[in-house]
Amino acid sequence: MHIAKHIMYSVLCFFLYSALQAQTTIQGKVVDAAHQKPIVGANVLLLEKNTKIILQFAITDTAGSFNISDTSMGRNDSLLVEITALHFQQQVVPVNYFQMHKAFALQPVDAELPPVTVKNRFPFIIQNNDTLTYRIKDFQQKDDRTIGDVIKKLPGMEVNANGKIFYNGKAITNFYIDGDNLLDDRYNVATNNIAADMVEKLQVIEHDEPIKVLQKNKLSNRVSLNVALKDKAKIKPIQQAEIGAGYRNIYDLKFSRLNLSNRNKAIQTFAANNSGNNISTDIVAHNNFSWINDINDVNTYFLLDQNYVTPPLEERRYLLNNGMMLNTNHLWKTKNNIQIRCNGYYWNQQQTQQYTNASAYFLRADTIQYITNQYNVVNTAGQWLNLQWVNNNQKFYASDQLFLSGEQNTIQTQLSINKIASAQLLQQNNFSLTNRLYVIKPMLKKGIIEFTAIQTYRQKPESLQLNPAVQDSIFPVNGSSVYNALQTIKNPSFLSYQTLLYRLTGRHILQSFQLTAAGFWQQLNSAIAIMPYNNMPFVYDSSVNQIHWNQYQFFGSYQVNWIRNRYSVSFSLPFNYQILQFKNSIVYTSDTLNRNLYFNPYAQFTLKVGQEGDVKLSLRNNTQSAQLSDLFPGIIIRNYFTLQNNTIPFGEKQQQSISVQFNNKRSIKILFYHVGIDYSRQENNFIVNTTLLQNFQKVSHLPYVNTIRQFQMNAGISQYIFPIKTTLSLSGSWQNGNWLQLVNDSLNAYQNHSWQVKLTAYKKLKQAWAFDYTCNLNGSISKGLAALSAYRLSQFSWQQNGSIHCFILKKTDCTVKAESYFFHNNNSADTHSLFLDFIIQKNVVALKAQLSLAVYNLLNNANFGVYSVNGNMLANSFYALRQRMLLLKVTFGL
Amino acid sequence: MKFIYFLWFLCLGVYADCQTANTAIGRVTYEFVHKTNLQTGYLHKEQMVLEYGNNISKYYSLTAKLQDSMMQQKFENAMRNGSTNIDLGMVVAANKETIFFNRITKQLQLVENYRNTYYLITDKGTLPKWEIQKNTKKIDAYDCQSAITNFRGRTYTAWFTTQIPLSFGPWKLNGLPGLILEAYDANKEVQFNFRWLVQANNLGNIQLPANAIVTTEKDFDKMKLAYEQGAQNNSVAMSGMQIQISNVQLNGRKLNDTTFMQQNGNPIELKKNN
Repeated sequence: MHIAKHIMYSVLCFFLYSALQAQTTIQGKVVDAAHQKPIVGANVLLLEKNTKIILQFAITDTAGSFNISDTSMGRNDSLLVEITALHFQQQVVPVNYFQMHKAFALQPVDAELPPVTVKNRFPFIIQNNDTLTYRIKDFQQKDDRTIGDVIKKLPGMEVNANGKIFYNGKAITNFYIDGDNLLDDRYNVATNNIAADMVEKLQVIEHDEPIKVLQKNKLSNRVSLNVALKDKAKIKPIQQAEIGAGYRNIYDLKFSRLNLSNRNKAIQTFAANNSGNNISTDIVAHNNFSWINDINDVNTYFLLDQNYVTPPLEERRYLLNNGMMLNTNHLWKTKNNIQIRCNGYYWNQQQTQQYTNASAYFLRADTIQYITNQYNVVNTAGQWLNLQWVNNNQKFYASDQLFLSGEQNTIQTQLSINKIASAQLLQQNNFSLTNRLYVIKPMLKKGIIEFTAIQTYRQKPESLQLNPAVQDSIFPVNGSSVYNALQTIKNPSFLSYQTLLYRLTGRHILQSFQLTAAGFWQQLNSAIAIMPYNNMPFVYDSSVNQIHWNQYQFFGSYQVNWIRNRYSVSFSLPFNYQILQFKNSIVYTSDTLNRNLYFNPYAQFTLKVGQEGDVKLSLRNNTQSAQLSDLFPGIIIRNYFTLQNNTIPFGEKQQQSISVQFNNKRSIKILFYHVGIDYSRQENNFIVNTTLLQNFQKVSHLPYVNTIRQFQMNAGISQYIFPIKTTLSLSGSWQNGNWLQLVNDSLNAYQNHSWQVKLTAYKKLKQAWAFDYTCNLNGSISKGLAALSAYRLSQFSWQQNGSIHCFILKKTDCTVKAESYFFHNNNSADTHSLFLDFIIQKNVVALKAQLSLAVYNLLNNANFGVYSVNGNMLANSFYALRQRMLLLKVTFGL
Repeated sequence: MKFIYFLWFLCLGVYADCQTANTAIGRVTYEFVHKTNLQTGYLHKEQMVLEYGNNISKYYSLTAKLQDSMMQQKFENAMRNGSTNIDLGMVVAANKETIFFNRITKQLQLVENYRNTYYLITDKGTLPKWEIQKNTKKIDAYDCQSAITNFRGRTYTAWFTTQIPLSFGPWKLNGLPGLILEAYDANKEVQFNFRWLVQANNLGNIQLPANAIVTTEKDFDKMKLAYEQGAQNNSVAMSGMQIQISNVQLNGRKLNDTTFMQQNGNPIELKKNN
């Protein structure tokens, strides 16, 4: 206290002196009465005594001093000085106080500012914890027709060409309609159909956690959207039609109906077209996710195929289709937090393909060539039904989903291979029934336990008929060289998968423990029936497979992520114990039993370098065991060109890889660059043995340990060039790989070099006018090693894309696109193709409709040619394309 | 001896400041109205928030705040998932500038979150010098009095309340003996209207972002102009596999050309100093 007094006196003396200088100046100091330290930022107000109106003010500086100078201060007795500071008792004193004292000591008080909430008017965007609400009418413009049009304009929102919605660059997970998840991520049907007028507000939900038991943990990083509808939208169904017609009997139709009442919701759509829109991808699921990714998945692929490779072009250019699709979604809510949902669709599509392929295999002694012509009529149909029951309450979450899915393919091929004509009929069916049970319960303070059980039954019958078979030298046909062959396959399977996951979250560390048990039972029954033209049909002995495949897996894993400011470490340590029973009732007499323990660790280290750069190192070891599709001893005709059987008992692939990547940027200079190196080594205990015969090939696996090495480097730089206002990016990569190939009983070593260079330029010309250009150069050289060192194949391709996007005549959206392809190799003539497209689009407010006119393939290209090089094989393919197409479309509400 | 007392004094003061300096005790929501285009008379409206603690305030757009936390999250997620692809592009929409004001040091700092990166710029312009007026009015529960200033090319009228004795306010308007609840310029081309106020003991921390790139206003504006004129962020984030370009082109319509921020015509700041 003695010290405080000491200081007080010295301060007082100082101010007494200064106060005497002028009447119109008030100077002083404000101190804390408890500690005698200066109060910084206190308000000293000169008030009118009667009205309490402030005439002058000062705010104390770092020394607690203030200075008010006012010449029009008036008489001192009509004035007051008020001193206020946060956490201090307010004081009011007469002005003449200053002539006596020059320092105020304010008494500290515990009181904070009173907790209050003062609401004035409703703002048009409000944020409430993790939810951001946009009032639609504040953002909607005259020419916005659907909610999708408005979403594109909301701050922070982006919609890509497929309709996928991003919020601040992050894809949204769910799309709720009035809080109900009817569509999961297949939300295009909603964004394209719900009229903007029907929507009251749109909500962005960050950390969206629809599962109530997880809401406390705040683990979710998902962003979802919710569309809150106006009442009028809930009464009457919303209907919309899209009608398109074009030159040469082109049509494109779509009809949708939305029924969105509070308790039940339903959306139905019907679509049909022959305009190159793939009907099966029309229902786009925007976030593909897999339920099972820690064990070897059930093989869902067909064993047989049509021997056709799709061209490296936009699908619309070559898809000659005619198809329809029906899609329905329903949701019912009961009390007690229970929801029942049903989604289903049916589609069928016919497609024609015309394809010519010339492949040359350069061998030591000679060159083998195949010239193939195909005319395909592809009929596909698909069905899908999803029934879901969800109980989502505060204590636990449980859901059960039942899936039924079917797919039928019938592919008729008229073909000739090396001038031998034949016909192939491929029929495939895939039927599966899946049930998934998923339960979540919180455990302890920061833990969550999750249980998943999946059961899948699948049937995959396939058949392939060749009339006549082109493999005349392989099957022993007495007295007849002309015969038909029929390959049949039955491949039923059942999978049972149970997993228990315990997740533990900390501030910097995330851990998870997982235990899984899975059983997979599969059969493969296949045979080839030979039907000679002038003899009795019979089953070819070496083609019969009767395989029982039982696979049991026990899987345990520990994963940890450790995140700090400058670095992060994550690794995963999974162990997988696998028991495999393999029984072939035809060829092998005894069962094969295989027990193996696999350890596939993964680690990643990230370190920040400088202010804006980082270095990332990843290490991985992965062992893959064989699947049934690698292990059938009886011959299967996979397509008219390929016969396959795999005799080795158990194939394994072991892969190690390491990669280092450095990224850096100079944000303020708009400069970005990166450099990376990858190396991988894969050791297989088998090799693919290919025997090339006159009209076909035979493929089998032989036990032979061999290694494939691959080395890759990549680098890229992107810079905005300020003087010419253009962004230029240049990136390149180079790859080098070594591998062994066994063809016609000779083992050859190859080395492959390939490189890619990509240049892009983007320039904005005016408001909303843009020009962009991309150039891709690709080259590859395939070289033989050792005895084959004279052998060398090279190929080069050059692809250019350019587009101009502009607005003409009052918000009419106009795009002109050009694409050019050039392929070169040292064995054949060059091919070159050029495409031009033109699209114009406008919303007509008066009609509440959208009009669009598109001309595709303006130059009317009939064919597209492409080269490819693989090892010692050079292929040259030609595809028939969709000719010039003119399509006028109108979209309107009903 | 006195010198030592003085030092002790000083330390105490600094220590006391640290305790509460960063804790937000109040949050005001303003409706920001800006006539961005004088020809069309287009009014840009946005919800802005002023968070204040004992010594510092933070003024930002609601959207911008979301983007802040979002960006942090994106990187954390990527690290967690070992993701090979982070989208660095982003849609520029609302006012991305966050303004920090320290009423003790009188320092005005701007943090711009532009395309997912923070930039820290110290505002070197002068601070407003207020002239108190005798007009009073009540804004909700608060008794307010007006003051005027010529600030950065416009004449502003501000309504402040001494019931909240902190010299904070929206945007760069500050330095009155109470919180500014409402402010507008003489032509009503720029307005900050009071909407909402919440006070509580702890509304979170007010902090400058840790990884902000220190730059100058000139360099920052040059970069920003380049993006507005079509520069692309062709950054290959993390992997070198995927090139993600998130451009602001949506069906050819630039997001901010109709609804948002046509500031070129009529910026808030007409000149740097008074």
